[in-house]
Amino acid sequence: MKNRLRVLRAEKGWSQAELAEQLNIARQSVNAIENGKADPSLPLGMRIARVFGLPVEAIFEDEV
Amino acid sequence: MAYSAKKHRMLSGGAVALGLAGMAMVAWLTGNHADPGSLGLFRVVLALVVVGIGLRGYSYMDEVQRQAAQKRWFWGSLIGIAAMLPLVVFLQTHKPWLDTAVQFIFHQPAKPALYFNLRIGIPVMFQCASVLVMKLLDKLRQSSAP
Repeated sequence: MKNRLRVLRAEKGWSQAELAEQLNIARQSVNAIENGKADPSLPLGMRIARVFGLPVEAIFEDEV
Repeated sequence: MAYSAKKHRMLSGGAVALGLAGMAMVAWLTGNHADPGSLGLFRVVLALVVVGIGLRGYSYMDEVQRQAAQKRWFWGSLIGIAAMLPLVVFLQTHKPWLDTAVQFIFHQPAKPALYFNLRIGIPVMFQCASVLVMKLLDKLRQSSAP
């Protein structure tokens, strides 16, 4: 699944570690999601959306 | 269970350390003619404790780490089993060589119990080694990622 996490994080000026701390996940997990190596579950996806103040579909995009 | 890097590291490290120490102790006890019944019980208790601590450590991972660990154990186990096949075929077809090697390492004639340990130990060791190699490769890949 494609996502805009890296761009949004850069806009906020957060490091991977800072975002990871807000989401209560490991920094490596943020890196894996940004690089498309892992897809977050719906609850984690919604937590990410809440942190950025955006709807889920503005961050994640399916590859149909 | 909530994610906690510290608790996960402490518990999984503890499980690995206890497993290695336990395996060394089993090898030492086997070489020193320990009572096979007590040794068997010791092995079962050790395995249960190590698996229990390992699972507790697993519960402190976040969901992405869990996905990665599940993939690693699946592929690592398959690769480990495939990698051990040449060794197993070699050992099956070179029984006299194996008997000599066992006598050299354990200072006692080869017994069925010892071969039982090898049959259990070889697949488990290959699988664990393969999973550790995959984990190391993951770490290297992460450190080179942007």
